[in-house]
Amino acid sequence: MENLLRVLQVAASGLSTQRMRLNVVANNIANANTTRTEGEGAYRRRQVVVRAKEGTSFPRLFDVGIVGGEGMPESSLSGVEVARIVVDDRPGPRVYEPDHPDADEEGYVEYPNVDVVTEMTDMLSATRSYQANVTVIDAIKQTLLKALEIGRS
Amino acid sequence: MSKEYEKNEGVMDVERISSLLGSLRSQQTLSPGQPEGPRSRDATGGSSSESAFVQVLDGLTKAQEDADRAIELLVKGEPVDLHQVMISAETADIAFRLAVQLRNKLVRAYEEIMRMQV
Repeated sequence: MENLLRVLQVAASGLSTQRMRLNVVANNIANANTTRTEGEGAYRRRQVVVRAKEGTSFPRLFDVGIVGGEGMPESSLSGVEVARIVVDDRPGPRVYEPDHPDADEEGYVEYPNVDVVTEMTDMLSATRSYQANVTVIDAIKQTLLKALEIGRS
Repeated sequence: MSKEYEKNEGVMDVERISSLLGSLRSQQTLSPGQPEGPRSRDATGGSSSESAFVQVLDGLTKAQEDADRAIELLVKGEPVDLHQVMISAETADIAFRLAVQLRNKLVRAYEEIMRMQV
């Protein structure tokens, strides 16, 4: 039962991560034209940094660090997680709009460095990855149900 | 809604399985000639296959409680991932199917023994 739960949790971590990527894309697109933030200047694009979740259980540390055996133990398969959300600090385009409330002295407005096309491709990627993880969960479930059919006669 | 219905049915079935198990157990203890035979095999009481089945039932109860809690949180509007709710519901579903299969096995074994010529 524990094994079954863990493999499902691995796939679930993928789902959570892809959902977070979608959230960030939604935030970027929603703010694609935001010239004002609580801090300075225009909105800056957010990015998700994803890292592989490493199991830090004692058996794993023992296997990898002390025994140093070949290959990785199964306990190192613990999914993925969002490490952090970073701000893309590249400057956005400066547009000459003297009548804009956020224009500087020279009449230029800084727009967010959000490229909607890039965000759309990110969105598609996150959506497809989410679907892939759902397919994995489905496959796990089908496998388990097949295993239960062994006893049926 | 259908999930809720299924789940309730599941709980009922668990009770039915438990009562069936209880009757199996009483048959075992009431069987004459061997008053302490099946009981004395392990400390927890009952044969090893029976205690294993009870463990599976415990796991099933836990899975169903988890699914219940997840659904409740979702309905309340708490920040819970939809896929986590679905996964816990599926886990409960699979655990239930496993329990039913094991129960079928046990009942089949019981019937086989009952048909035995003495």
